[in-house]
Amino acid sequence: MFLSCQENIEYFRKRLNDNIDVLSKVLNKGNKSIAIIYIKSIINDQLLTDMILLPLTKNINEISVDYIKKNIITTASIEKIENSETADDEIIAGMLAGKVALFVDGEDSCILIDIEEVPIRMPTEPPTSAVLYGPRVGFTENAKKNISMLRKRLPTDKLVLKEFEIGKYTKTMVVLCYLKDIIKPEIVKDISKKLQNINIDGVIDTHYILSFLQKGQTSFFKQAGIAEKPDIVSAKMLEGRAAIIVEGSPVVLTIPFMIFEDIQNSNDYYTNPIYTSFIRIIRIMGILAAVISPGLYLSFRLFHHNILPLRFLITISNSTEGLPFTPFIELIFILILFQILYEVSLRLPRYLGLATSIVGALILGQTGVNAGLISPPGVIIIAMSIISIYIVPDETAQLTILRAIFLIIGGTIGILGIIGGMIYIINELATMQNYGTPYLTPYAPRTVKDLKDGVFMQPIYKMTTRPKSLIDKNEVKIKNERND
Amino acid sequence: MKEMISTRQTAFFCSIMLFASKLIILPSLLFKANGYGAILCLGFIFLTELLILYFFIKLKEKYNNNSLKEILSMYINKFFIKVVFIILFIFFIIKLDYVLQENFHYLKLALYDKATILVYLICIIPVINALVYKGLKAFGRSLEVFYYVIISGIVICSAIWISSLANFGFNIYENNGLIGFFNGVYNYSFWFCDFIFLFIIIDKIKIENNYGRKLMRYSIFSASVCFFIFFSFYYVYQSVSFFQSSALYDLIQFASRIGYVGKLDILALYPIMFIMFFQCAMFLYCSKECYKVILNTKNEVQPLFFINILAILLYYFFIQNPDNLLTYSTSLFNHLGVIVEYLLPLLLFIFFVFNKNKEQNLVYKKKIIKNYKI
Repeated sequence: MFLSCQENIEYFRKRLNDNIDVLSKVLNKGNKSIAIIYIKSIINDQLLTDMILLPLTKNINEISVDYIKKNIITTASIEKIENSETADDEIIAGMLAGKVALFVDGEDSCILIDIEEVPIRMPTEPPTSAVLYGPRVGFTENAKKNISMLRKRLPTDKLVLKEFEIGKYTKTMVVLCYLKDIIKPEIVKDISKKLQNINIDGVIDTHYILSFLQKGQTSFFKQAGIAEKPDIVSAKMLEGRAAIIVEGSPVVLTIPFMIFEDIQNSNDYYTNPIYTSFIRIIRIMGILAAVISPGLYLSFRLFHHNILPLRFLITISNSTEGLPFTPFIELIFILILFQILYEVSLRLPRYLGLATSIVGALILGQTGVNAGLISPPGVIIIAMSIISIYIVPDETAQLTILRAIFLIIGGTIGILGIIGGMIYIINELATMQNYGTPYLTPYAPRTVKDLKDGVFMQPIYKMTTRPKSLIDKNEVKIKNERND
Repeated sequence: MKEMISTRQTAFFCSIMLFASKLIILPSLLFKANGYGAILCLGFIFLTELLILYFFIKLKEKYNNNSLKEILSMYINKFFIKVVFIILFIFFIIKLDYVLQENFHYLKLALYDKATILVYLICIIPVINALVYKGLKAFGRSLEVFYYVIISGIVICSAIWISSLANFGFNIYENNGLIGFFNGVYNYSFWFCDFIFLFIIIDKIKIENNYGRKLMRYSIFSASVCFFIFFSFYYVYQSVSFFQSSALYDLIQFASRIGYVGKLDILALYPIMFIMFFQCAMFLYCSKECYKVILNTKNEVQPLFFINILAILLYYFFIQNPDNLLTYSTSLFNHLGVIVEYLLPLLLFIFFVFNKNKEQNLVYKKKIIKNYKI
C-alpha cells in the first residue's frame, strides 16, 4: 500500500493484471484525493453510486479514512485495512470478493466496502426432490442465500456456521453447519479437520469436497447425504447431522450418512405413514428389480428353466425363438442401447428429446423386436430395470454398476452367484462406518428406537427421540404426549 | 479391541446353524435308520442340543469375557488345550467340506444340470472368505439383514405343506426299536453339533438384556420349524421317505401348485442357498480361530489361505464322491461328531461344576495382577 492514491491505483490494477473489469475513480477534494478501485463485473452499480459515489461528492469536513468510514459511508459491510505485510493481499482478496477499496492521499490504510453482486437464480424446486405436498423451495448456487434459507428454518442460537476457505485459486467458501446442542462433538471435529486439510486448486462443486470427506479413497458407496432443499437439511440437522454448504453449488452434504436415508424421501413425512410404509417397501422392491432383475432373468433362461412355471417358460421360448444372439449377448446389447439412449436424452436440448424418444422406443425397440434381433421379454426386463433405478435417484450411479455386475454374474454362474453377490455386497456395507455410524443402521445393527422411521414408518408424534445411532446426548425431540 | 456381536446376532446364528444341513439329505437318512422313529431321534438330539445351549448360556454368564482357550487354561495344560483345538479344527474343516458337498449335490439336482464343482467353488469360496475376513461384526450384521428373508422362505414352505398334509399318514410305531433309535442318534451325529461354534466365539458375544432367553427362543423356534419339516416329510412320503434325498425341495415339489400362484420351487431353493453361505462362513471362521490358537498366530490371512487349500484338497480327495460322503459320515466322522458335540461340553461341564477352587484361584490371581498393574 502506498501513501499516494495514484500509486495505489497503478499498483492494484497491475496486481489484477490490468483486466478490463478493474476500474478506478479519483475524486479530488481540495488538496487531497480519494481513490476507489473495484471490479465492475462483481459489484452492484446502483449501490456503488448510492452508497459510495454520491456521499463522497458531497462536502466532507475531514478527508481521512477514519472520518469517511464513520460518517460518510453508512453501511455495516465496511472494514478498515491497516498497512501491514498482508494488507495488499487482503485488499486484493476483498476486491475479488466484490468489495470496493477506498484510499485517501497521504494515508497508508484503506477501507473495503462490500457491495458484491453476482448473478444468481431464484430458488426453485429441485428436479430430484419434487414433492406433491410440502415445501418446494430449493437451494441455489449462492452460499449466503442458502445459509439464509437455513437460518430461516432454524432461528436458534444453537446453530453454528463454521467457514472454511478452500481452493488455492477459487478460494471457495465452504460452510459447516450444525446444531451444537445435538451433534456429537467428534463428528464436528472430524469433519473440520478434514476440511482444513484439503489442499486443492479449486472447488467447483460440492462433490469435490465429498471425495475428501469419505473414508477409504476408493469407496464405491456414497458416504454423505445429498440434499437440495432447506427443509431436508434442517430436518437432518435436527437429527444430529452436520451440513456442508459450498459456494457455487445448490447441493448440500449431510454427514453422517446411512444407506437407509436414500429409501426415505421428504414427501414421506408429509403424507400418511401407512402409505409411506407401503411406498418404502415398493422402493426396496424397485431397488431389487433395478439391480438383480436382468441377472435373475438371465440365470433363469440359461440355467434354471426347470423351476419356471411351464406356461411362462413356453411364452419365453416362443418369443426368443430364432434370435441370432445368445440371451447373455442379447441382454448386454439391450442394456448398452438403453444406457446410450439415457445418456443422450440427458444431454440433448429439450426440443430434441421427443425425437430421441421416437428413435429409442419406436425405431430401436419396436423395430429391433420385429426384426428378430432382440426379444420382447429382454426389452421389458431391461426397461423395467432402467426405470426402477430412478426410484432412488441418489443411488443411480451405484445401482447402474451393480446391475451390470449382477447381469454378468447371472449370465455366468446363475442364481447361486446372485445370492453370493448379494451377501458379499451387504457384508461390504456392514463393514462400513460413517463417522461412527454403522452404514446399515437401523437394521444392522438393529436399533429399535430408530426403526420408527424405518421401512414401517410410525406417525411423527411417535418419533419422540432422535436417531440413537447419531447422537449421544439430547435424545428427546418430542416431549409432550398426544392428547386423544 | 475384540469384535463383539450382539445377543440378537448370536441368536440369529444359533437359529440358522440349527437349520443347517438338516433340510436336505438328513431326513431320508434318519428314516433309513429308524423308520418313523426318526422323528424321535431328531427330538432327542434337539433336546440335547438345547441342553448344550443352556449350558453354554450359563458358561458365558460365568466367564463373560474369556475365550474358550482362557477357560480351558484354568483347568488343563497347554498341550491338552492344543489337542482340543486340533479336534475342533478337524471337525470344522470337515464340516465345511461336508456342507459344500451336500449343497453342491442338492443344487445340481434342483438347479444346475451341468454345473461343475469348479464353478460352484468359484462362486462360494470368495464370498465366505470375504464374510470371514471382514470380521465377525460385519458377518453378524450381514446375517441380520438376511435372517428374515431366509426364515420367511422356510416358513412359507412350511405353510404350503400344511395345505397338502390332508391325505397321508404318520405311524410312529413303525420304527426299528431301541437299536434303530441309537443308530439314528449316533450314526448321524455329524449332521448336528449345531451350537459348538458358540464355544469358539464365546468371548465375542455381548451379554445384553434377556440374553439367555433370546438365544433359547430363536433356537427353539428353529428346532420347531425343523421338526415340523421332518414330520411333514415323513407324513407326505411315508415309507418311501428314505428314497427322497432333498427333503425341502421334494416337499415343495409335492405341493408345487397352490391356488393360481403356480410353481414355487424357488421358495425351497433360495433359503438353502443363503443358509449354505452363512453356515460355510461360520465353519471357516471357527476353523480359522482354532488354527490361530493351535499355531499361536494373530495373522488373519495366513490361516484363511491355509484352510482354503486344506479344505479344497480334502474335498477333492475324500468328499467329492457323494457315496464317500455317506460312508465316512456314518462310519468315521460320526465318532468325531459325538466327541465334539457331547464330550467337549461335558468336559467343560465337569470343570464348571467340580473344579471351582482352581477357577477361583485363577480369578484371584488375575485380580492381583490387575491391581499390581494399576
